Amino acid sequence: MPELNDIDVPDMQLVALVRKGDMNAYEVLVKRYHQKVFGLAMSMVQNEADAMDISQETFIRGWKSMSRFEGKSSLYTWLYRITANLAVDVIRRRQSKGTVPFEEWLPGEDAGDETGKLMENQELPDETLSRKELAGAIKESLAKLSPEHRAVLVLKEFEDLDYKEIADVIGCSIGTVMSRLFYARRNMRKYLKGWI
Amino acid sequence: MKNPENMPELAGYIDGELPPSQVDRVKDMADANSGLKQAMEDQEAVKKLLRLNRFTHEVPITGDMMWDRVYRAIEQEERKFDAVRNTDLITLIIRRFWAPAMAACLAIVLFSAHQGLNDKFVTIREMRTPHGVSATNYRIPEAGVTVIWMEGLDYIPANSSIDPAS
Repeated sequence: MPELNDIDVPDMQLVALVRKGDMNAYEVLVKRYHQKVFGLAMSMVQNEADAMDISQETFIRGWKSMSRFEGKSSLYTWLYRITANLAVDVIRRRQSKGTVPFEEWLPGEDAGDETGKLMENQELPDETLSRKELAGAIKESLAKLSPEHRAVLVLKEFEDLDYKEIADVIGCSIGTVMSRLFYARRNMRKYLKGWI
Repeated sequence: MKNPENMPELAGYIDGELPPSQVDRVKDMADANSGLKQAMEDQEAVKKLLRLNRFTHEVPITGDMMWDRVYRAIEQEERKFDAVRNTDLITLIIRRFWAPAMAACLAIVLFSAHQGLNDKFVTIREMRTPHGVSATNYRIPEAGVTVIWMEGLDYIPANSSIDPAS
């Protein structure tokens, strides 16, 4: 049997060990996926503290319900499902309270910082400024979308999942994914009018 | 269709997710309808803008730190779960077995009392009264008295008028 620290140990092999209660195997999985899980949570809730809480809760729930993971989808799709559900709950709670985290409404303030950074190419200073403004506009626009629309758009454009994977994560049909993406993009077009 | 621009298949088309049988149909419809064509271009523009400006989110803590948090939280949850499970078990036992347990206790007490009485009472003789009522003459050495038990009556002092032994 390979060493658990071996990065090449397949997910399903680790999952089988986790089901037997092997914490070391779960440690490997947490370390393997914590960045992706945090990235998705952050893209959806746009708030570092919430994204950290969501990431931690995702892995706690993952441990508790690993026996129910059937292996029909990939492990990261399954973890994404937990993350997306938790993120949608956080967004709904915020919307019901009428509160939005401060940093969510800072247009591009943290675009050059460690989090929420746009993928940067070599660019001139004025272009950097423009990209920061654009980052802020994109964040604001995403925040205006419903949690369901935000989830499919983030999973498609930022996480690069295909419709089948998104349907698995969200727990809906491919037709619903297509429809939500269509209306999410249409709304984004409206919100980002000055940029397109 | 009320509004031809409301066509979710446009999203599927630009994402390359439509079944081959629908691709040509959607393309032909868009070519033939300027509103639909505009809607498709809008979808493509948003897609392109988001793709070019993807966010990268660096995790503020390392994998080891994340695992440490997760591990401690799992341990804490499992301790809580164990405590709840133990409490539930005790509650279950109490709920399910309290009646039989009480009955058993009562039976033990009664049996002990009966045994205790038997130890204290020394049968002198058993008899029948002239009216056919059975009676037993007991002596209680500890108390230094003699009593008679008659069917249908309490214990009565041996020196009473109905004492058959007197």
